[in-house]
Amino acid sequence: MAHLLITIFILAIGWQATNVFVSLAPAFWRIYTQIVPSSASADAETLRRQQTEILKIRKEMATTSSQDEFAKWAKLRREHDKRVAELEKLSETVAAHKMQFGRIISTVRWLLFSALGFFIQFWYRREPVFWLPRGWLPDYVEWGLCFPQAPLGSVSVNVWSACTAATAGLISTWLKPKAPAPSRIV
Amino acid sequence: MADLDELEPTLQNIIDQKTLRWIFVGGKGGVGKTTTSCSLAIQLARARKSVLIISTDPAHNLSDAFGQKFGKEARKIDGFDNLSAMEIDPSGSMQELLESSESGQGNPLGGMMQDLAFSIPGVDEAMSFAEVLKQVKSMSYDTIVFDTAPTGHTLRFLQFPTVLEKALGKLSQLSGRFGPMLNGIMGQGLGGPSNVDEMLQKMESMRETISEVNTQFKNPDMTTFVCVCIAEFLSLYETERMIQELTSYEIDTHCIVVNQLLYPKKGSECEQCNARRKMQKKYLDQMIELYEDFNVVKMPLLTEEVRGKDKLEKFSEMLITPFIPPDVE
Repeated sequence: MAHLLITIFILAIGWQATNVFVSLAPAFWRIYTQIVPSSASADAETLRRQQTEILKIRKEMATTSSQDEFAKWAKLRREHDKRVAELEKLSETVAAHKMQFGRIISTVRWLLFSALGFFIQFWYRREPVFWLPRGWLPDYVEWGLCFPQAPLGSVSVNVWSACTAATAGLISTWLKPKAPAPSRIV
Repeated sequence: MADLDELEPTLQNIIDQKTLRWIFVGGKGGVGKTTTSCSLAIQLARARKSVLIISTDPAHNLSDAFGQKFGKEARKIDGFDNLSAMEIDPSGSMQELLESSESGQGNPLGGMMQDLAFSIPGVDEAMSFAEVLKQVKSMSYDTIVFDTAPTGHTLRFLQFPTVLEKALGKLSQLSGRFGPMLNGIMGQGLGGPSNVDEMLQKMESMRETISEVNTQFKNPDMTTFVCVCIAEFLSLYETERMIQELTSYEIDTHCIVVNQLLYPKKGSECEQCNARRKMQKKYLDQMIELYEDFNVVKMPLLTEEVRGKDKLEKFSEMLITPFIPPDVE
Protein backbone atom coordinates (compact mmCIF):
# COMPACT_ATOMS: atom_id res chain seq x y z
CA MET A 1 0.00 0.00 0.00
CA ALA A 2 2.56 2.50 -1.12
CA HIS A 3 0.03 5.28 -1.70
CA LEU A 4 -1.03 5.27 1.96
CA LEU A 5 2.54 5.43 3.11
CA ILE A 6 3.35 8.42 0.93
CA THR A 7 0.08 10.27 1.39
CA ILE A 8 0.31 10.17 5.15
CA PHE A 9 3.89 11.28 5.08
CA ILE A 10 3.02 14.18 2.77
CA LEU A 11 0.20 15.20 5.07
CA ALA A 12 2.53 15.29 8.07
CA ILE A 13 5.12 17.32 6.18
CA GLY A 14 2.41 19.61 4.82
CA TRP A 15 1.05 20.32 8.28
CA GLN A 16 4.45 21.40 9.48
CA ALA A 17 5.25 23.34 6.32
CA THR A 18 2.03 25.34 6.50
CA ASN A 19 2.87 26.30 10.03
CA VAL A 20 4.92 28.99 8.37
CA PHE A 21 1.81 30.25 6.58
CA VAL A 22 -0.03 30.78 9.81
CA SER A 23 2.76 32.81 11.33
CA LEU A 24 3.05 34.75 8.09
CA ALA A 25 -0.69 35.42 7.90
CA PRO A 26 -0.22 39.22 8.12
CA ALA A 27 2.00 39.17 5.06
CA PHE A 28 -0.47 37.00 3.22
CA TRP A 29 -3.20 39.33 4.31
CA ARG A 30 -1.42 42.13 2.55
CA ILE A 31 -1.02 40.13 -0.62
CA TYR A 32 -4.58 38.89 -0.39
CA THR A 33 -6.03 42.39 -0.08
CA GLN A 34 -4.00 43.52 -3.06
CA ILE A 35 -5.04 40.64 -5.28
CA VAL A 36 -8.60 39.75 -4.31
CA PRO A 37 -11.14 42.55 -4.62
CA SER A 38 -13.56 42.62 -1.67
CA SER A 39 -14.93 45.04 0.90
CA ALA A 40 -12.11 44.04 3.20
CA SER A 41 -9.46 44.80 0.63
CA ALA A 42 -11.13 48.12 -0.14
CA ASP A 43 -11.05 48.98 3.56
CA ALA A 44 -7.42 47.97 3.82
CA GLU A 45 -6.63 50.10 0.82
CA THR A 46 -8.40 53.12 2.30
CA LEU A 47 -6.56 52.51 5.55
CA ARG A 48 -3.21 52.57 3.81
CA ARG A 49 -4.13 55.70 1.89
CA GLN A 50 -5.41 57.34 5.06
CA GLN A 51 -2.16 56.58 6.83
CA THR A 52 -0.08 58.14 4.08
CA GLU A 53 -2.38 61.14 4.06
CA ILE A 54 -2.04 61.62 7.81
CA LEU A 55 1.72 61.41 7.59
CA LYS A 56 1.65 64.00 4.85
CA ILE A 57 -0.50 66.32 6.95
CA ARG A 58 1.81 65.84 9.91
CA LYS A 59 4.76 66.79 7.78
CA GLU A 60 2.97 69.85 6.53
CA MET A 61 1.99 70.80 10.07
CA ALA A 62 5.59 70.54 11.13
CA THR A 63 6.64 72.94 8.42
CA THR A 64 3.82 75.40 9.13
CA SER A 65 4.48 77.91 11.85
CA SER A 66 1.53 77.82 14.19
CA GLN A 67 2.33 81.35 15.29
CA ASP A 68 2.66 83.02 11.92
CA GLU A 69 0.04 81.05 10.02
CA PHE A 70 -2.36 79.99 12.73
CA ALA A 71 -5.34 79.71 10.43
CA LYS A 72 -3.56 77.35 8.07
CA TRP A 73 -2.09 75.38 10.93
CA ALA A 74 -5.43 75.03 12.73
CA LYS A 75 -7.13 73.91 9.56
CA LEU A 76 -4.43 71.29 9.06
CA ARG A 77 -4.91 70.17 12.60
CA ARG A 78 -8.65 69.86 12.22
CA GLU A 79 -8.09 67.81 9.10
CA HIS A 80 -5.53 65.70 10.94
CA ASP A 81 -7.78 65.06 13.92
CA LYS A 82 -10.68 64.21 11.68
CA ARG A 83 -8.63 61.76 9.70
CA VAL A 84 -7.13 60.17 12.80
CA ALA A 85 -10.62 59.59 14.18
CA GLU A 86 -11.66 58.03 10.88
CA LEU A 87 -8.52 55.95 10.81
CA GLU A 88 -9.20 54.55 14.25
CA LYS A 89 -12.67 53.51 13.25
CA LEU A 90 -11.45 52.00 10.02
CA SER A 91 -8.56 50.15 11.58
CA GLU A 92 -10.99 48.44 13.90
CA THR A 93 -12.97 46.98 11.03
CA VAL A 94 -9.80 46.08 9.19
CA ALA A 95 -8.45 44.32 12.27
CA ALA A 96 -11.66 42.32 12.47
CA HIS A 97 -11.27 41.35 8.81
CA LYS A 98 -7.69 40.44 9.43
CA MET A 99 -8.56 38.19 12.32
CA GLN A 100 -11.21 36.49 10.24
CA PHE A 101 -8.68 35.99 7.48
CA GLY A 102 -6.27 34.40 9.96
CA ARG A 103 -9.02 32.12 11.17
CA ILE A 104 -9.86 31.08 7.62
CA ILE A 105 -6.23 30.23 6.92
CA SER A 106 -6.04 28.08 10.04
CA THR A 107 -9.32 26.37 9.22
CA VAL A 108 -8.31 25.60 5.65
CA ARG A 109 -4.99 24.27 6.86
CA TRP A 110 -6.69 22.10 9.43
CA LEU A 111 -9.16 20.74 6.89
CA LEU A 112 -6.45 20.06 4.32
CA PHE A 113 -4.08 18.24 6.60
CA SER A 114 -5.42 17.31 10.01
CA ALA A 115 -8.98 16.49 9.07
CA LEU A 116 -7.92 14.57 6.01
CA GLY A 117 -5.40 12.72 8.14
CA PHE A 118 -8.05 11.75 10.64
CA PHE A 119 -10.31 10.60 7.88
CA ILE A 120 -7.60 8.42 6.35
CA GLN A 121 -6.81 6.98 9.75
CA PHE A 122 -10.43 6.08 10.20
CA TRP A 123 -11.16 4.82 6.69
CA TYR A 124 -8.06 2.67 6.31
CA ARG A 125 -7.88 1.56 9.94
CA ARG A 126 -7.96 -2.12 8.84
CA GLU A 127 -5.42 -1.67 6.02
CA PRO A 128 -1.76 -2.35 6.51
CA VAL A 129 0.57 0.43 5.40
CA PHE A 130 3.38 -2.08 4.88
CA TRP A 131 4.30 -5.51 6.16
CA LEU A 132 7.13 -6.17 8.52
CA PRO A 133 9.44 -9.05 7.65
CA ARG A 134 8.24 -12.04 9.63
CA GLY A 135 10.11 -12.72 12.83
CA TRP A 136 12.01 -9.42 13.04
CA LEU A 137 10.23 -8.13 16.06
CA PRO A 138 8.73 -9.89 19.04
CA ASP A 139 4.97 -10.45 19.04
CA TYR A 140 4.09 -7.78 21.51
CA VAL A 141 5.88 -5.12 19.48
CA GLU A 142 4.12 -6.30 16.36
CA TRP A 143 0.87 -6.11 18.21
CA GLY A 144 1.63 -2.52 19.16
CA LEU A 145 2.59 -1.56 15.63
CA CYS A 146 -0.61 -2.84 14.11
CA PHE A 147 -2.72 -1.05 16.69
CA PRO A 148 -5.67 -0.75 16.65
CA GLN A 149 -7.19 -2.81 13.85
CA ALA A 150 -4.63 -3.59 11.14
CA PRO A 151 -3.67 -7.24 10.65
CA LEU A 152 -0.91 -8.55 12.90
CA GLY A 153 2.53 -8.26 11.39
CA SER A 154 1.85 -5.00 9.60
CA VAL A 155 2.19 -1.32 10.51
CA SER A 156 -1.19 0.36 10.97
CA VAL A 157 -2.21 3.71 9.48
CA ASN A 158 -2.48 5.21 12.94
CA VAL A 159 0.99 4.22 14.01
CA TRP A 160 2.45 5.36 10.72
CA SER A 161 0.67 8.73 11.08
CA ALA A 162 2.08 9.22 14.55
CA CYS A 163 5.58 8.37 13.35
CA THR A 164 5.49 10.68 10.36
CA ALA A 165 4.05 13.53 12.46
CA ALA A 166 6.86 13.17 14.99
CA THR A 167 9.48 13.02 12.24
CA ALA A 168 8.08 16.05 10.43
CA GLY A 169 8.02 17.92 13.73
CA LEU A 170 11.65 17.07 14.37
CA ILE A 171 12.69 18.13 10.86
CA SER A 172 10.88 21.43 11.17
CA THR A 173 12.63 22.21 14.46
CA TRP A 174 15.99 21.51 12.82
CA LEU A 175 15.16 23.68 9.83
CA LYS A 176 13.75 26.53 11.82
CA PRO A 177 16.24 29.41 12.08
CA LYS A 178 17.59 29.39 15.57
CA ALA A 179 16.71 32.38 17.67
CA PRO A 180 19.84 34.15 18.84
CA ALA A 181 20.67 33.28 22.40
CA PRO A 182 19.56 36.06 24.73
CA SER A 183 22.56 38.16 25.44
CA ARG A 184 23.34 38.42 29.07
CA ILE A 185 23.01 41.81 30.64
CA VAL A 186 26.37 42.68 32.05
CA MET B 1 -9.43 90.92 2.92
CA ALA B 2 -12.65 89.09 2.18
CA ASP B 3 -14.72 91.54 4.15
CA LEU B 4 -17.88 90.63 2.33
CA ASP B 5 -17.82 87.04 3.50
CA GLU B 6 -17.45 87.89 7.15
CA LEU B 7 -20.41 87.48 9.43
CA GLU B 8 -21.61 90.47 11.39
CA PRO B 9 -19.03 91.24 14.06
CA THR B 10 -21.64 91.60 16.81
CA LEU B 11 -23.57 89.49 19.29
CA GLN B 12 -26.84 90.86 17.97
CA ASN B 13 -27.72 87.39 16.68
CA ILE B 14 -27.76 86.06 20.24
CA ILE B 15 -30.06 88.85 21.37
CA ASP B 16 -32.35 88.18 18.42
CA GLN B 17 -32.50 84.42 18.94
CA LYS B 18 -35.34 84.42 21.42
CA THR B 19 -35.40 80.65 21.87
CA LEU B 20 -31.97 80.65 23.53
CA ARG B 21 -32.20 79.60 27.14
CA TRP B 22 -28.64 78.72 28.09
CA ILE B 23 -25.70 80.87 27.11
CA PHE B 24 -22.24 79.85 28.21
CA VAL B 25 -19.36 82.25 28.22
CA GLY B 26 -15.99 80.60 28.45
CA GLY B 27 -12.31 80.94 27.81
CA LYS B 28 -8.97 80.92 29.57
CA GLY B 29 -8.46 82.92 32.73
CA GLY B 30 -7.90 86.65 32.46
CA VAL B 31 -9.31 87.20 29.00
CA GLY B 32 -12.38 89.05 30.23
CA LYS B 33 -14.96 86.33 30.56
CA THR B 34 -16.74 87.98 33.43
CA THR B 35 -16.83 91.37 31.77
CA THR B 36 -18.15 89.83 28.59
CA SER B 37 -20.76 87.71 30.29
CA CYS B 38 -21.96 90.63 32.40
CA SER B 39 -22.16 92.86 29.34
CA LEU B 40 -24.01 90.21 27.40
CA ALA B 41 -26.43 89.75 30.29
CA ILE B 42 -27.05 93.49 30.42
CA GLN B 43 -27.81 93.57 26.72
CA LEU B 44 -30.03 90.54 27.01
CA ALA B 45 -31.92 92.08 29.89
CA ARG B 46 -33.02 94.86 27.55
CA ALA B 47 -34.63 92.36 25.18
CA ARG B 48 -35.92 89.67 27.54
CA LYS B 49 -38.29 89.54 30.44
CA SER B 50 -35.78 88.21 32.93
CA VAL B 51 -32.16 87.19 32.81
CA LEU B 52 -30.03 85.35 35.33
CA ILE B 53 -26.27 85.35 35.36
CA ILE B 54 -24.52 82.53 37.17
CA SER B 55 -20.85 82.38 37.99
CA THR B 56 -19.38 78.95 38.58
CA ASP B 57 -15.97 80.42 39.10
CA PRO B 58 -14.75 79.86 42.68
CA ALA B 59 -12.94 83.20 42.42
CA HIS B 60 -16.34 84.91 42.15
CA ASN B 61 -15.80 87.89 39.97
CA LEU B 62 -19.44 88.86 39.65
CA SER B 63 -19.36 90.56 43.02
CA ASP B 64 -16.33 92.52 41.89
CA ALA B 65 -17.79 93.44 38.54
CA PHE B 66 -21.02 94.84 39.94
CA GLY B 67 -19.64 95.94 43.27
CA GLN B 68 -22.31 94.02 45.10
CA LYS B 69 -22.23 90.84 47.13
CA PHE B 70 -23.89 87.81 45.59
CA GLY B 71 -24.43 84.40 47.09
CA LYS B 72 -25.91 81.02 46.46
CA GLU B 73 -29.37 82.52 46.08
CA ALA B 74 -30.28 84.51 43.00
CA ARG B 75 -30.42 88.23 43.82
CA LYS B 76 -31.45 91.24 41.76
CA ILE B 77 -28.58 93.41 40.63
CA ASP B 78 -28.87 97.01 41.81
CA GLY B 79 -30.14 99.26 39.08
CA PHE B 80 -31.76 96.52 37.02
CA ASP B 81 -35.22 95.16 37.56
CA ASN B 82 -34.97 92.04 35.40
CA LEU B 83 -31.37 91.01 35.86
CA SER B 84 -30.30 88.76 38.70
CA ALA B 85 -27.04 87.12 39.61
CA MET B 86 -25.84 84.21 41.70
CA GLU B 87 -22.49 82.72 42.53
CA ILE B 88 -22.09 79.04 43.16
CA ASP B 89 -19.19 76.89 44.11
CA PRO B 90 -19.38 73.87 41.85
CA SER B 91 -17.62 71.61 44.30
CA GLY B 92 -19.74 72.76 47.23
CA SER B 93 -22.97 70.93 46.81
CA MET B 94 -21.37 67.53 46.40
CA GLN B 95 -19.45 68.24 49.57
CA GLU B 96 -22.74 68.79 51.32
CA LEU B 97 -24.16 65.62 49.90
CA LEU B 98 -21.16 63.68 51.10
CA GLU B 99 -21.24 65.23 54.51
CA SER B 100 -24.91 64.55 54.92
CA SER B 101 -24.38 60.95 53.98
CA GLU B 102 -21.50 60.60 56.37
CA SER B 103 -23.55 61.75 59.29
CA GLY B 104 -24.94 58.23 59.73
CA GLN B 105 -21.94 56.46 61.15
CA GLY B 106 -20.90 53.33 59.31
CA ASN B 107 -23.51 53.94 56.68
CA PRO B 108 -22.41 51.76 53.77
CA LEU B 109 -24.12 53.98 51.24
CA GLY B 110 -22.20 57.00 52.42
CA GLY B 111 -18.99 55.20 51.66
CA MET B 112 -20.35 54.26 48.28
CA MET B 113 -21.12 57.86 47.44
CA GLN B 114 -17.60 58.76 48.37
CA ASP B 115 -16.21 56.03 46.17
CA LEU B 116 -18.36 57.24 43.34
CA ALA B 117 -17.20 60.79 43.81
CA PHE B 118 -13.58 59.75 43.52
CA SER B 119 -13.84 57.01 40.94
CA ILE B 120 -14.95 59.11 37.99
CA PRO B 121 -13.00 62.35 37.63
CA GLY B 122 -15.30 65.32 37.52
CA VAL B 123 -18.35 63.40 38.58
CA ASP B 124 -18.66 65.39 41.77
CA GLU B 125 -18.61 68.63 39.83
CA ALA B 126 -21.02 67.26 37.30
CA MET B 127 -23.46 66.13 39.94
CA SER B 128 -23.36 69.37 41.82
CA PHE B 129 -23.74 71.20 38.56
CA ALA B 130 -26.79 69.11 37.82
CA GLU B 131 -28.10 70.04 41.23
CA VAL B 132 -27.69 73.72 40.45
CA LEU B 133 -29.34 73.30 37.09
CA LYS B 134 -32.28 71.65 38.74
CA GLN B 135 -32.65 74.66 41.01
CA VAL B 136 -32.35 77.06 38.11
CA LYS B 137 -34.83 75.18 36.00
CA SER B 138 -37.50 75.58 38.59
CA MET B 139 -36.97 79.35 38.50
CA SER B 140 -38.64 81.25 35.71
CA TYR B 141 -35.85 83.02 33.90
CA ASP B 142 -36.02 83.55 30.17
CA THR B 143 -32.32 83.27 29.65
CA ILE B 144 -29.48 82.10 31.83
CA VAL B 145 -25.95 83.27 31.20
CA PHE B 146 -23.14 81.16 32.60
CA ASP B 147 -19.86 82.75 33.48
CA THR B 148 -17.85 79.53 33.54
CA ALA B 149 -14.72 78.83 35.52
CA PRO B 150 -11.42 79.38 33.68
CA THR B 151 -10.85 75.66 33.48
CA GLY B 152 -13.97 75.70 31.37
CA HIS B 153 -14.75 72.22 32.46
CA THR B 154 -18.19 72.94 33.66
CA LEU B 155 -19.10 71.17 30.49
CA ARG B 156 -16.85 68.27 31.14
CA PHE B 157 -19.69 66.10 32.27
CA LEU B 158 -21.08 66.24 28.77
CA GLN B 159 -18.24 63.93 27.96
CA PHE B 160 -19.65 61.08 29.96
CA PRO B 161 -23.36 61.66 30.24
CA THR B 162 -24.15 58.21 28.97
CA VAL B 163 -21.77 56.57 31.41
CA LEU B 164 -23.18 58.55 34.28
CA GLU B 165 -26.71 57.94 33.19
CA LYS B 166 -26.09 54.24 32.88
CA ALA B 167 -24.44 54.02 36.27
CA LEU B 168 -27.18 55.97 37.97
CA GLY B 169 -29.84 54.04 36.08
CA LYS B 170 -28.37 50.78 37.28
CA LEU B 171 -28.23 52.08 40.82
CA SER B 172 -31.84 53.06 40.86
CA GLN B 173 -32.75 49.73 39.32
CA LEU B 174 -30.87 47.95 42.05
CA SER B 175 -32.54 50.05 44.65
CA GLY B 176 -35.89 48.99 43.27
CA ARG B 177 -34.96 45.39 43.91
CA PHE B 178 -32.92 45.55 47.03
CA GLY B 179 -34.08 48.83 48.47
CA PRO B 180 -36.61 47.28 50.80
CA MET B 181 -34.04 44.76 51.96
CA LEU B 182 -31.38 47.39 52.49
CA ASN B 183 -33.85 49.46 54.39
CA GLY B 184 -34.73 46.47 56.47
CA ILE B 185 -31.14 45.81 57.36
CA MET B 186 -29.97 49.32 57.86
CA GLY B 187 -33.16 50.74 59.12
CA GLN B 188 -32.76 48.70 62.25
CA GLY B 189 -29.15 49.60 62.75
CA LEU B 190 -29.52 53.29 62.08
CA GLY B 191 -33.03 53.95 63.13
CA GLY B 192 -33.58 55.99 59.99
CA PRO B 193 -35.19 53.88 57.30
CA SER B 194 -35.67 56.87 55.01
CA ASN B 195 -31.93 57.23 54.60
CA VAL B 196 -31.42 54.86 51.70
CA ASP B 197 -34.55 55.87 49.87
CA GLU B 198 -33.73 59.49 50.17
CA MET B 199 -30.26 58.99 48.75
CA LEU B 200 -31.49 56.97 45.84
CA GLN B 201 -34.28 59.34 45.10
CA LYS B 202 -31.77 62.14 45.02
CA MET B 203 -29.61 60.25 42.54
CA GLU B 204 -32.55 59.33 40.38
CA SER B 205 -33.75 62.89 40.12
CA MET B 206 -30.20 63.95 39.37
CA ARG B 207 -30.06 61.46 36.55
CA GLU B 208 -33.25 62.83 35.11
CA THR B 209 -31.93 66.36 35.31
CA ILE B 210 -28.68 65.43 33.63
CA SER B 211 -30.34 63.69 30.74
CA GLU B 212 -32.87 66.45 30.26
CA VAL B 213 -30.26 69.18 30.44
CA ASN B 214 -28.12 67.22 28.03
CA THR B 215 -30.75 67.21 25.36
CA GLN B 216 -31.30 70.90 25.90
CA PHE B 217 -27.60 71.69 25.70
CA LYS B 218 -27.25 69.83 22.44
CA ASN B 219 -30.05 71.78 20.90
CA PRO B 220 -28.60 74.80 19.07
CA ASP B 221 -31.92 76.60 19.39
CA MET B 222 -31.66 76.57 23.16
CA THR B 223 -27.98 76.66 23.94
CA THR B 224 -24.95 78.41 22.60
CA PHE B 225 -21.41 78.92 23.76
CA VAL B 226 -19.64 82.24 23.43
CA CYS B 227 -15.87 81.88 23.30
CA VAL B 228 -13.86 84.73 24.76
CA CYS B 229 -10.21 85.15 23.92
CA ILE B 230 -7.50 87.70 23.37
CA ALA B 231 -5.45 88.08 20.22
CA GLU B 232 -2.50 86.07 21.41
CA PHE B 233 -1.15 82.74 20.37
CA LEU B 234 -1.93 80.68 23.46
CA SER B 235 -5.37 82.12 23.86
CA LEU B 236 -6.10 81.44 20.23
CA TYR B 237 -4.76 77.94 20.54
CA GLU B 238 -6.93 77.20 23.54
CA THR B 239 -9.94 78.68 21.81
CA GLU B 240 -9.45 76.45 18.82
CA ARG B 241 -9.18 73.44 21.08
CA MET B 242 -12.25 74.47 23.01
CA ILE B 243 -14.26 74.92 19.84
CA GLN B 244 -13.25 71.48 18.62
CA GLU B 245 -14.14 70.01 21.99
CA LEU B 246 -17.53 71.71 21.99
CA THR B 247 -18.17 70.44 18.50
CA SER B 248 -17.44 66.94 19.68
CA TYR B 249 -20.02 67.39 22.45
CA GLU B 250 -22.43 68.70 19.80
CA ILE B 251 -22.75 72.03 21.54
CA ASP B 252 -23.42 74.96 19.27
CA THR B 253 -20.88 77.75 19.16
CA HIS B 254 -20.83 80.51 16.60
CA CYS B 255 -19.57 83.59 18.44
CA ILE B 256 -16.10 84.61 19.44
CA VAL B 257 -15.33 87.75 21.42
CA VAL B 258 -11.80 89.02 21.03
CA ASN B 259 -11.01 91.20 24.01
CA GLN B 260 -8.32 93.68 24.94
CA LEU B 261 -7.49 94.83 21.44
CA LEU B 262 -5.15 97.78 21.27
CA TYR B 263 -5.82 100.63 18.93
CA PRO B 264 -3.04 103.16 19.43
CA LYS B 265 -3.77 106.60 18.03
CA LYS B 266 -2.22 107.60 14.77
CA GLY B 267 1.34 108.73 15.20
CA SER B 268 1.52 107.27 18.66
CA GLU B 269 5.01 107.19 20.06
CA CYS B 270 4.26 104.25 22.35
CA GLU B 271 6.66 101.58 21.18
CA GLN B 272 5.00 98.76 23.12
CA CYS B 273 1.54 99.69 21.93
CA ASN B 274 2.53 99.72 18.28
CA ALA B 275 4.38 96.44 18.54
CA ARG B 276 1.49 94.85 20.33
CA ARG B 277 -1.01 96.23 17.86
CA LYS B 278 1.00 94.64 15.07
CA MET B 279 1.02 91.28 16.80
CA GLN B 280 -2.67 91.43 17.64
CA LYS B 281 -3.48 92.33 14.06
CA LYS B 282 -1.62 89.28 12.86
CA TYR B 283 -3.64 86.94 15.05
CA LEU B 284 -6.86 88.78 14.36
CA ASP B 285 -6.38 88.32 10.64
CA GLN B 286 -5.69 84.66 11.22
CA MET B 287 -8.83 84.34 13.27
CA ILE B 288 -11.01 85.99 10.70
CA GLU B 289 -9.61 83.63 8.14
CA LEU B 290 -10.07 80.56 10.29
CA TYR B 291 -13.45 81.34 11.79
CA GLU B 292 -15.23 82.58 8.73
CA ASP B 293 -18.51 81.03 9.88
CA PHE B 294 -18.33 82.69 13.30
CA ASN B 295 -19.37 86.10 14.52
CA VAL B 296 -16.04 87.51 15.61
CA VAL B 297 -16.59 90.49 17.89
CA LYS B 298 -13.68 92.85 18.41
CA MET B 299 -13.51 94.63 21.74
CA PRO B 300 -10.96 97.33 22.50
CA LEU B 301 -8.79 97.52 25.57
CA LEU B 302 -9.97 100.44 27.64
CA THR B 303 -7.87 102.73 29.74
CA GLU B 304 -9.92 101.90 32.80
CA GLU B 305 -11.18 98.81 34.52
CA VAL B 306 -14.67 97.86 33.44
CA ARG B 307 -16.44 97.77 36.78
CA GLY B 308 -19.78 98.90 38.00
CA LYS B 309 -23.12 99.22 36.27
CA ASP B 310 -22.42 102.30 34.17
CA LYS B 311 -19.12 101.19 32.77
CA LEU B 312 -20.41 97.72 32.03
CA GLU B 313 -23.42 99.17 30.23
CA LYS B 314 -21.18 101.35 28.15
CA PHE B 315 -18.90 98.44 27.41
CA SER B 316 -21.83 96.22 26.54
CA GLU B 317 -22.87 98.58 23.75
CA MET B 318 -19.79 97.53 21.86
CA LEU B 319 -20.99 93.92 21.78
CA ILE B 320 -23.91 95.08 19.68
CA THR B 321 -22.63 98.02 17.65
CA PRO B 322 -19.11 97.22 16.50
CA PHE B 323 -16.43 99.42 17.94
CA ILE B 324 -14.91 101.64 15.29
CA PRO B 325 -11.38 102.47 16.23
CA PRO B 326 -10.55 106.16 15.94
CA ASP B 327 -8.04 106.74 13.15
CA VAL B 328 -5.81 103.76 13.59
CA GLU B 329 -2.33 103.49 12.29
